[in-house]
Amino acid sequence: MQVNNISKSFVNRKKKKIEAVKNVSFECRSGEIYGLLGPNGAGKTTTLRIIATLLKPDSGAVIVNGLDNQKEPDKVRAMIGFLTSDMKVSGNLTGREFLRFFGQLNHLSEEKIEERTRMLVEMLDMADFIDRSPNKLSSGMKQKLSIAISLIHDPDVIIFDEPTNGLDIFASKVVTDFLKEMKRQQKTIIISTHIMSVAEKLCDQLGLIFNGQLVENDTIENILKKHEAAEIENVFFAYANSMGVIQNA
Amino acid sequence: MLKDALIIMGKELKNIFRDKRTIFSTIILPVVLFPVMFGIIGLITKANEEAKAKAEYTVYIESTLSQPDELTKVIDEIHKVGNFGIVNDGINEKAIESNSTAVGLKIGKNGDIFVATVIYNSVKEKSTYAAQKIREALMNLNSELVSAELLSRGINPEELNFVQVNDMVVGVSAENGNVEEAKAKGQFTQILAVLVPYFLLIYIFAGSMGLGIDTTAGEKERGSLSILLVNQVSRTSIALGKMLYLMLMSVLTSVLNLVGLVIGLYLEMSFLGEANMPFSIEIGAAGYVLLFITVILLALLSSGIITLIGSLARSVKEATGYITPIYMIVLLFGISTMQSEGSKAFYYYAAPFINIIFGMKDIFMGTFSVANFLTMFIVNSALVVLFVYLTAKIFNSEKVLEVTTE
Ligand SMILES: Nc1ncnc2c1ncn2[C@@H]1O[C@H](COP(=O)(O)OP(=O)(O)OP(=O)(O)O)[C@@H](O)[C@H]1O
Ligand SMILES: [Mg+2]
Repeated sequence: MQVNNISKSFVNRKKKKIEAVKNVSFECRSGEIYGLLGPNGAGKTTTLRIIATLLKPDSGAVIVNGLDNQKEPDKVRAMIGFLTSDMKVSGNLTGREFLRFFGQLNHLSEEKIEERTRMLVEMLDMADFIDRSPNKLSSGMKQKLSIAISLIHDPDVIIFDEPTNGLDIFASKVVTDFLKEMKRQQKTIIISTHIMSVAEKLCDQLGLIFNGQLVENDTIENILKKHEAAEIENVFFAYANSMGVIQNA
Repeated sequence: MLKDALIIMGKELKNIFRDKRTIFSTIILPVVLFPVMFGIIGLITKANEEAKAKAEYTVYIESTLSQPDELTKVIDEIHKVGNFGIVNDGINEKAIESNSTAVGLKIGKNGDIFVATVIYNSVKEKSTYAAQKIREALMNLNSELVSAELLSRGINPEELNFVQVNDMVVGVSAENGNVEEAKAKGQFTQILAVLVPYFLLIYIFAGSMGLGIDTTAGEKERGSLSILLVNQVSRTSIALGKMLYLMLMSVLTSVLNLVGLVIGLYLEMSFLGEANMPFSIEIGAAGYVLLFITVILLALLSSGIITLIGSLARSVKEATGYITPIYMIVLLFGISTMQSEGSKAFYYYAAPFINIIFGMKDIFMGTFSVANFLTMFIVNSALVVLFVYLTAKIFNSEKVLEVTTE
């Protein structure tokens, strides 16, 4: 999966132009986890939405498995499992029924839906609450259900925006272990986060994003070496200071 | 595409019928509420009428009649029409004012003519009723005196008719002969031709309004619409699926409401002793098919416009703000066309919503014309397609992600 030079700006309510993403390029191969690390408002969600075809970039292109996501958005969506924190399941169906519904929309056979459901329920530890409806679930349970829904069709590319947001340490571990398992299954995984420890433990490649600009795009090791730093946090604060974004959000 | 739309529709239906409140408000309430409401109104009215008829009244009489048998005749007539106690020592205005079952009668004679004044308290129902009865008694007396006078001049009053009128009924209600039955059916069909289009219009629009806003702008607010949008399902299917769901729900609620309403009206009328009105509409099998098509068109049109606006709006509040004025306009259409007859000029059938009302009236009144119906059908179908297309376009644009929650 390649992100080539994408830019995106919004016009806010005061008619001011906000450049949310500026010339961002990176690449993520199958069996790799790419992490976008940046403070609030840096442009992480916008970048991921562009990859998932929900937003069109002003310039640049995203290629997924050789397909341009603007030219063939439907095919690209079929290959992607996408989740952001503002996406929330709601309604009176049970978790299992939701999985079945999205399985049907992805044209999976009933057997396949059952098989995927069984697998996801087990891997994400959802057996206790899968037959309850979302309004009877805690936010952590809902997040797990959302993850399962986004992956019901077994996509090659997984794009998760802050997947551990709002989760306690146990639920977080379930999710990160799950992502590691997905990596083992040769998926292409892109996550965004502002939690350093998650980035450090999980990601093969890291993109540091500030004010819409990708200031670093390399392995953690290389980034640390380049800055002669012991931890990513130090690099992060150095950039934040030099770019004057500490109190931005 | 249609398959995905049906999957989405099915999911929405399943979701809504899990909700006990929905079942109550869409099914139980209309089917039970209207009959109960009208039934109670009928019962209360009936009980009230009976109470008035059974009550004992007092009539204060102030008579200047010189012949004693003249007053006796008046009093006899009063006794025939109701339960009246006679107090023949002048008008007691205080008593009439304070006592609801009291009336007064001043009666005298001007030459050969009886001159009477009825005194009653018009604020009190029973007093008004009693005054009405006294008037009735006096008119009976008048008829008797007229008959007696005619007979004394050698004329039989029964032979005094020089014109005789018979009715013959034509049109849909007359098909199987019997004139009295046809008249009654015609009357019922007229009532329905006025009521049904109006109620369907309101129920279908109102029925899809709440649900429609919830399934579009509401889902946006809750963040569950974007889950649907990141899937490979086409946006046209999403738009169509939501519209079909709304259409089904609004047709269901409106039909149930209508059934409840008709049963209710029938109950009320039968409590009031008017049950000989036939409980059927004579529009023929073709009429029912055309009516069904029209109702579906109306439901699709309403769901289409509501889905479109709900998808465009950034919050439930905004959507409600946009849709309410449209609802008002539709209401106004309904009210302003309620009394008018079918078969209007061509352009009435080119205007959405209005053409549906006239289309339905035509079916009830037997003024149906193929050209007009086709115009209505084509105009509304084209609009429905346009609404689906525009909604799909909105789902495809970045705007659909914009949510304001204040
Ligand atoms: N639809 C929109 N209209 C206007 N401005 C927007 C829109 N979406 C995002 N922005 C702006 O673009 C910038 C980047 O936002 P984005 O959501 O991508 O940041 P983020 O890195 O995900 O932040 P967070 O960690 O808070 O989620 C912000 O300044 C935001 O206000
Ligand atoms: Mg974000």
